[in-house]
Amino acid sequence: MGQLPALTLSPAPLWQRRRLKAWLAEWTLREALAEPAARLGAAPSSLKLARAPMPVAPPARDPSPAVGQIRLLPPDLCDERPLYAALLGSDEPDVFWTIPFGPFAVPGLPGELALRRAAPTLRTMCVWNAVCVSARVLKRSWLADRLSESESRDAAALLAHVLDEAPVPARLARRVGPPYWHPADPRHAYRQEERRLTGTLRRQGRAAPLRYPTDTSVSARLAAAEPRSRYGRPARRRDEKK
Amino acid sequence: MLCAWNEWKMRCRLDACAQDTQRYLRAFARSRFRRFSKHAFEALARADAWRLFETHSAVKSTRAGKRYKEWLFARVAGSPDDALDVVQGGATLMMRAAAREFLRHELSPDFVVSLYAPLSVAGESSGALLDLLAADADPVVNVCLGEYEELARRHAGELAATLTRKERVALAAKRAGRSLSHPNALRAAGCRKSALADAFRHLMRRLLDDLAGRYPDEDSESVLTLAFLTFERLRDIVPAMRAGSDP
Repeated sequence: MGQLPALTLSPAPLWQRRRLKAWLAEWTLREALAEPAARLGAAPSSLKLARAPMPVAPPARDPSPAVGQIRLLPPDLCDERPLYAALLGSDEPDVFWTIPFGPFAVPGLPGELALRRAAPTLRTMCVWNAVCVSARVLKRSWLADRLSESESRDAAALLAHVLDEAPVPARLARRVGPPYWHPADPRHAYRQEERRLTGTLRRQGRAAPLRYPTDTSVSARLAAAEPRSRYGRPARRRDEKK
Repeated sequence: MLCAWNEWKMRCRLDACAQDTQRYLRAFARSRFRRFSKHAFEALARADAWRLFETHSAVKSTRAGKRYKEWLFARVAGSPDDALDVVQGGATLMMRAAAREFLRHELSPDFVVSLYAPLSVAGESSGALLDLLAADADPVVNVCLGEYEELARRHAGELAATLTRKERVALAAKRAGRSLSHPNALRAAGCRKSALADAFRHLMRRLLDDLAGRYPDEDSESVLTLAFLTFERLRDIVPAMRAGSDP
């Protein structure tokens, strides 16, 4: 009879487990609140208000798109949520890497960066979903805020990682989402959903290649087969507090 | 009713609007929040839903930070629907996000989500949430894995010599990312999809039984690991044996 070599693997780092848990909590809530968009528009029938309509204010004039701006994209580019995007410079004049912001408080994917901002709509930057767009397209968007110098630097570093597989700087290593590879991971569905939301934008520009830093090595995949404590055993809590 | 939304946009904040407007918009927000809160209805009903909506939507307290209002109204131009429905539809979408954020804070669901909770994919158990994360690479592990790989290669080579035509076709289809009902796969196997699926299942069972018989003293996870690697090697070998054929 044969004998197999002993195989013991260390678990994923604690910060990754915590972040995945926080992200999954948000995803679970999002799924729980999902409702067809068509059903969301109707006004509550019990509410009535009879007055003459007020004139709508003329649209405000916005500065031209520029590097470092955070702009709110118009609804013809995304009408399912107010989609904010940060602008970074590209190799071409008047063309910007447009980086959408994600819907969650914590980054879910390796190409997402936590910005440490308070505004709920500007907390995570989906660098993996960057699109190279001309100023002509972005001119119709609205200036909402600006990136700080460090935010611009961090976003550019992660963009270099996404575009050219440059190493992620150490200072950002724990501000991105955990790696993913498992076919049952709900982050696949999340990624597709975010890509769909930016579909119109991508058709008007050039998208970043889908080069995710997912770990598909055999040792990583075998991590899923690692023996672990059963649900609810005290040993698990001690392990998580390390 | 669109005038209420117009007034709110013009006057910048709801408190500066007429009482009717305030009442209407607050009630609107409350009704939307009620819909989304579901299980947390009681807690959410006590909150000032309108304030939650505005706080969640604004980027800053300046005018530039409230450009979401432009977005709300710009949706009207591109829609054939009634302007009020379009504006309120947009606001409802935003309120859903605000409700989610509120629930995240109030219910702290990350304490409810367990990484050890079983996952279910297409009705079948597929490990736990913790399995979604890869472990760190370890040099010692890599040495062991090398041994597993070597064993897997050997077992795959032996098994490949005994494969039936249907089994080879099924493996080739899997490697090509095609389903077992793909017309090319069925044509190559010369059978119906149910027969091809049966052949694939039979092969997997044969592989597991063979390895379990060879390593009776090993735990099931080690044998499964070896089976997993053997299957991968087998899948790599088989299409090479039938290069150029369907699928």
